[in-house]
Amino acid sequence: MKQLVLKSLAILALVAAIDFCVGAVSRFVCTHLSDKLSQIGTIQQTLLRKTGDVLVLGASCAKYHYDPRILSDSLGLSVQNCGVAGMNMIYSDLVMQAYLERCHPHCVVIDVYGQLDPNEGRLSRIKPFYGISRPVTAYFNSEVGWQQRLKLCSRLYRYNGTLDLFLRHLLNEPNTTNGFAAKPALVSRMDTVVVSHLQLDTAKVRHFQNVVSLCRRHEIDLVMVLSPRRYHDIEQEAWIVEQSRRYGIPLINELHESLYYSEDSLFFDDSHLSGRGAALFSCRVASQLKSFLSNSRKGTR
Amino acid sequence: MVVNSINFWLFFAIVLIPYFLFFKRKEGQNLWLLAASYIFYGWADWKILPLLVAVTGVFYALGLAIERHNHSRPRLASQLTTVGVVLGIGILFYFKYFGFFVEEMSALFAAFGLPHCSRTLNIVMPIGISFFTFKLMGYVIEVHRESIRPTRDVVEFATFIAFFPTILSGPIDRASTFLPQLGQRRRFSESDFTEGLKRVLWGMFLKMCIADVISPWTDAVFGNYAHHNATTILVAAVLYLLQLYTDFCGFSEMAIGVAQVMGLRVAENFNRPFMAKNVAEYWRRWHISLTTWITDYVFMPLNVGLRHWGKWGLYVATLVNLVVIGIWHGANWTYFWFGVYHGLLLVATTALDKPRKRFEKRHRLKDNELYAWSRRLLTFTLFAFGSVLFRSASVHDFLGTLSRIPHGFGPLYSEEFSTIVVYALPSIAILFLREWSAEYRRNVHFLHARRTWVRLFSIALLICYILYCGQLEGQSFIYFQF
Amino acid sequence: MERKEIINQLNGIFADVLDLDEVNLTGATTADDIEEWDSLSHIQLIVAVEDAFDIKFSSLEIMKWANVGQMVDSIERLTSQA
Repeated sequence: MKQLVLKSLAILALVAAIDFCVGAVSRFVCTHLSDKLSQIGTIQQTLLRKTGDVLVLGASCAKYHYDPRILSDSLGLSVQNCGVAGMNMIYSDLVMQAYLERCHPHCVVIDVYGQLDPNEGRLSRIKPFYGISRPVTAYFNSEVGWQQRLKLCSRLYRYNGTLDLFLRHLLNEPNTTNGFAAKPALVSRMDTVVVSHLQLDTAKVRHFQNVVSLCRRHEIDLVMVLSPRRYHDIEQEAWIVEQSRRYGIPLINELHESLYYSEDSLFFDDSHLSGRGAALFSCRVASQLKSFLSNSRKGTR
Repeated sequence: MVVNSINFWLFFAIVLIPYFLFFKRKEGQNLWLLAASYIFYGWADWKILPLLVAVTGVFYALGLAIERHNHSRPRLASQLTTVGVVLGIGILFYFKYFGFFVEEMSALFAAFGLPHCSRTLNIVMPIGISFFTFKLMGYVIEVHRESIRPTRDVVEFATFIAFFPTILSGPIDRASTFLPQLGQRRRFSESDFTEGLKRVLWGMFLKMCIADVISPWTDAVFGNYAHHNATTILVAAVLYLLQLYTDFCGFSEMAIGVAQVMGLRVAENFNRPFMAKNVAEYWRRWHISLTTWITDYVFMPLNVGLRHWGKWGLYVATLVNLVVIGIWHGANWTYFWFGVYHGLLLVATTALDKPRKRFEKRHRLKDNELYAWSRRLLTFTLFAFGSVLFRSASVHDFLGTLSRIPHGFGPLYSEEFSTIVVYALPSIAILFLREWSAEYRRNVHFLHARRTWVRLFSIALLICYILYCGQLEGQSFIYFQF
Repeated sequence: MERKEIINQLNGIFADVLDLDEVNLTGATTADDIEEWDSLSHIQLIVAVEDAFDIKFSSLEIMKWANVGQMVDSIERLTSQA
């Protein structure tokens, strides 16, 4: 029995030692990533480093649709695209909080569609920033169960799955550092599909409301955008329109603009635009954004 | 509640400590184990718990009645056995196949323009039902064949049926090996404890570092087969077979390990199937507890009954055997054709057995490694092909998937494939190294090294590897649906 | 027929069916003791035994056998009836 206890303790000590070493190395890598458009690179930049006058929040639609160069040329402000594919409203809220600790943006553009779905998505990819980014740490400490928090004590768990993210970051070409990625054009024909089955995750709705109230408190202009898509849920659209009315948030609705649907090559797949589609979209959003911003300036003056 | 969750370990600790510390007699241990098993099963599916308790009672009584009449009234004993088998199959049929059966019949009626009802039945299949009904049926058949004596202790019998490590997904244990163990008090043994935990660890490695890493990618490919080329489909077929093996073998290892910690030996389920040199051998090494069950209770009676048909009797019995294994997995034509496919392969293997042996003798191939490995490769390929049928949601999907292959090769579907390259491939290499070394009895030990420090290091490294590279957000097991 | 005689005759049948040079059966021999004796050759053995002794076993009887001794019991019983 004594042997068994001693051996168990030895295994525990070894695991703790490896845990500590791997954790220290991974933490160093996580905070010292170069500027590249890889997934972990983008998360690191948006959570820890970048600043901008205009922020674009959202998931893949944000990342693939908003070209900051076009927006920036038109608005005369610095623009940062914070979209990460597969993320959700919780991430947008955390990014918002992280930015407010570093700078004071004038305007936040948020691509809401699909961000309030119950599915978990890739939110676990922010685990490596537990203990590094304050909003991320606060989120895990207050909103996840005790089991998850217990697991987070292990650095191996925290950095679980980062190895291939680091490798992908290493292999990724240095790219634009404004967070935008253009997708290639679609090859086959695609029809528009309209469905109706809205499911909302209450936690994510709460985070959406938090973004809204953060913008109010810091006097930041908040604008919601509905990107064009070939597969869309009318209930979700209705919900977004309702939120815009309820909180008085301007909404740029590009969902029904026929320009996008005239050519298949403007789409990459049923819910994302191609690079050409993104250019058109960015131009249209930029001009509408400009008028909103000038109106709101007039209003405040 | 799956073994790779914190909840399970809390539950297990609460079960284990009193099990060894407070209960000094087998009756107490069995009762405690039974209570734990019912709570465990109720946790998964409380609505079906009364059914489990009821059928346990019925089969317990049947066992005793069959024994009493086995010699005095053999005909009655046979009838009682038939009642047991019909009841077992009836439960299985109702929950697993009835909805499918009704749908197929109404489709058939509709095809002939006959009146039919198009309402679909929503019978929810209780988890683990295919496993515990097989245990129950095996029990009465064994009693009838007089290979075991029925137990008089109802708690012992109920514990055997509801034993929590194996109730959800097997291995399907036999009364002849399991009941005698419950007839004795289990004492805490250090070697059982450590060996059991090592098997659990290995099972977790298989499940979390291979199966769950592969599954998002194969799901993406098979779920969207129309968009993929031949390269992607073929790679997915190979990966899916590996996924299926590691998923189910991982579960079995954990179940066997957990049982061993409690001092109980459970039937083995896998014996390095990828080292099999032909289809027959593969089936002897794959899901052993099911294949031996079906061999004993379906194949052998059929084979004995058809013994005067010569080799054709054997072929028919083989085919039926594999079709039963196929449809055991569920009510879907894909499983039926999966059985037919493997049945035909097995018939061909049996028919070619003699010519093959002659060929090997003539060319002195018995110890030729290259020949052995090409046979393994061929066997693996045949099973990988079959696994596509197994994975497809319908025969239509299977044909659709196959029809992509003539469209030509092309670049591999690369979305998230890096996770497979970075995490799954090294893990698969570790798996093969271990299986190869065990097959050839080479001394490549990880967890069972002779030197203590090597062993401790291997265990610590494996734990760290799972934590760092494994897919930790618990996913369900493929075999839970069967 | 004597048990010894039956076993002697079985030795010949087994060697023939299993393609072995020599077989030494005892009452306690089981399929685990002879490598070539698998579920496939088992059936061939039964058919060969039935033909040699001109008897017919019942299926349940066959299923109940645990070793060669019990097979011999069945043969003894069936040949004495004839």
